[in-house]
Amino acid sequence: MNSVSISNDAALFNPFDRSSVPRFWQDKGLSGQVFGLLANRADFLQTLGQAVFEPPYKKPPQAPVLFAKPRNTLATSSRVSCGTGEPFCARVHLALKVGRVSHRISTSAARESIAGYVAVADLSLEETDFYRPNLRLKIQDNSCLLLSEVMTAIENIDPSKLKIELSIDGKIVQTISQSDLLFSAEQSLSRVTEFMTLYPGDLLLLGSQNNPPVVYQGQVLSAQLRQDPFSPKQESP
Amino acid sequence: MKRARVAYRGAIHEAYPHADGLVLADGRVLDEDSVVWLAPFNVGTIIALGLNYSDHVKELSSELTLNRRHAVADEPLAFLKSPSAVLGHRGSTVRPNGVQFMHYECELAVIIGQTIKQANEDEAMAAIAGYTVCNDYAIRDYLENWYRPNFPVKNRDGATILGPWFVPAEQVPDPHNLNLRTLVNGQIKQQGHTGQMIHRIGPLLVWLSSFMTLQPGDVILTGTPEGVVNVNVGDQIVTEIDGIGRLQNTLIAET
Repeated sequence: MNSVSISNDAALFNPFDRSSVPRFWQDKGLSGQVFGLLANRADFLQTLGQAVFEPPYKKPPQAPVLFAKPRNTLATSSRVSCGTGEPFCARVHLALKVGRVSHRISTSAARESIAGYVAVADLSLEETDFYRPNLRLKIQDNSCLLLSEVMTAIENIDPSKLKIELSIDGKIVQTISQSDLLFSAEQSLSRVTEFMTLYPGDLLLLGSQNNPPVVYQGQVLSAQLRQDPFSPKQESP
Repeated sequence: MKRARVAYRGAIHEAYPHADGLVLADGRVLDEDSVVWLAPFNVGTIIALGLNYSDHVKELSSELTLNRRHAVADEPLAFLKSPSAVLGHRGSTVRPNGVQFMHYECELAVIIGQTIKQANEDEAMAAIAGYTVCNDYAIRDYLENWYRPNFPVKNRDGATILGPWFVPAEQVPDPHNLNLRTLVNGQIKQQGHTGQMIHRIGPLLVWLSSFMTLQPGDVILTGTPEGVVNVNVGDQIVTEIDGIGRLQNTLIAET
């Protein structure tokens, strides 16, 4: 190929270029880096049953199983606009928003690194095999949706007591608790930052329930974060 | 023109090759070790290919648990990395205490210069801005069989080295005709040729752009041939690709 490539030199070579993170995300103080945990609930492994102990998996995961939702996945609304009309699994996670440069964070100090919490839908085509990452299934354009406001992490918020009240097209369909995570929010942050620094505005998706709802183009997803059934939610201003 | 990004005396500079090392955009000529080298472009999404050279597949075959086929036949094995993994030329990478198998991987990195989605092969090749060298370390001790290769193996801070130079596409008439090699403390340990890639660059970009928009700064690490060997603290590893560059890294102990 000898033709001169016409490249976006500002995006490639201007060291101060910030154009790649959608404004919708920047406005919520998000960096655009999104990481998530797979299989972080007992029901995920239970559904796979004996297969967990056989090839190719051979045994249950010993460490958090991570995936990334890169910048092409960052949706700018919570209306499903992913793919070309096929059904998507909407894995809904509680995500923690990282508040500071976080490297080798201890579990006991983890909450100091958490700036907030937000409900995120991680859309994917159906996965039946988790041995290898499935990019074609998991990182389609617009497959990472912010569903709620960012709840500021004030001191007394215990993320394991947060619930996500999920609505599809305005109708509440599910209340998702966070008390059954295998690695808690604090443990997840600690295990991940052992080897991989997280930065302010990064999101860490803590794991979704099994049997995610199936969604289609045009449906609107939304969520409220609730601290418990009886106390009012607290939102960032 | 080839370009690099370096830090020197308090500022970030663009730099170009020079007989005596490099020349900054402001005209100062410096030698290679006077500056801190950074990745030579704004790195976007990093997509890495696994098992993309047939001799490397054979090398690892005793250790692969099962050859699972994807639903789509011959779909490439691709995984993601984050910007936190990136390190520049002449840097140091931490080797965790007690691991048995940390190996380098010399790879041709393909840098996207235009936004493309559902591109055909001509459009995809035209969207390549240029190339650089990558050394993408792996620490096999941490391997697990969930979304493998899992992040503790392949997404560690500072273990994905990029550089030294961004080489424009027009200076690389055939990216599938390049010799590559890795030297450990001056001895050649890995050799290969980019013509041996199983999934070639054009079809790879067509496949990726079929489900994701590729953007300027996105970079595809195209895999490594056989010859990966454990390396230890103090080792100096040079991964080089003829016409693209000679990328250097040293391993340091965990503190």
